[in-house]
Amino acid sequence: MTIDPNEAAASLQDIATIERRTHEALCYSGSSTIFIVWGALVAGGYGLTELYPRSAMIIWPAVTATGCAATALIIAMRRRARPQEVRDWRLIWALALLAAFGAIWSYLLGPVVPRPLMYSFQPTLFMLGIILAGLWLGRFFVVLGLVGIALIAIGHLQPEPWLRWWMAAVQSGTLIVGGVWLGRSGVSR
Amino acid sequence: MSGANEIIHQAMRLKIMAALNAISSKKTAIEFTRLKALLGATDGNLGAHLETLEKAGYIVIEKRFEERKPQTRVRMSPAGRRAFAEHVAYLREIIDSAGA
Repeated sequence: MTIDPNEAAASLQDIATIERRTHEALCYSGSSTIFIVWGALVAGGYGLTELYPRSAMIIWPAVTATGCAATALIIAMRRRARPQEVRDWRLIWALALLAAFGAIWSYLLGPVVPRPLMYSFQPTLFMLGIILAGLWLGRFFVVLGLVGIALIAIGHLQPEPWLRWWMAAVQSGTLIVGGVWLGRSGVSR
Repeated sequence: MSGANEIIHQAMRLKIMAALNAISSKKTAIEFTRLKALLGATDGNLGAHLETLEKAGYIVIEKRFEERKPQTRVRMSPAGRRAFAEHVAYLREIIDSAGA
């Protein structure tokens, strides 16, 4: 059997395409749990803020800290189970920095900026992080982030208390539905 | 220069081996339906090529029941991993020698 250079190049190209698609699918399944956890935490955060509105300044940093700790735990567990898997730590750190940036500015601006704006700022920043991650990890993240931002923008026009309920449903819903979809479309092992 | 691996070089089998190789771990298996979606293959086509690769000892097919549903899982054998690496090296050598 002889293979000419063009055929060899085409075969290597096919291999590269399948490898990229497989890594994308692996990343989808790996991110699924993280999205669902964040969705549940955001829903819990909104629920607690509804019950104890004066404690919002404690509730949301606690939600963010719990989410970051849970994300780190999930990544560590996955790393232990699949040590060979390649991870781009720069991307993970970039997303953590973006989340910290949003949390700090929310804390500082919270008392002075109109409330509807604050309801949109942190979630849209979070969705922006998902879009940016999608540039490396796969198209689905970009679509999920864009849908999230569009729904937040629509909710921004609602009066209180609909605004809060809309934001709670949209943010936690986008994350949970996105997480379930990621789990279904990823490579389950 | 080692020769081409005729079993692996067929287009669909090359894709199957590339996907299984990318999953990386020796003990890692992938569900038949996930592999089918990943490769854009049909049931019959994928099944036939998996059988060829299994006969060559390059992959292992595991059949089991999960929640009373039959499930077929596929993983690469150590021999398959070696053969795939050698074939990829051979393809690279062809391109390198053509460019020299």
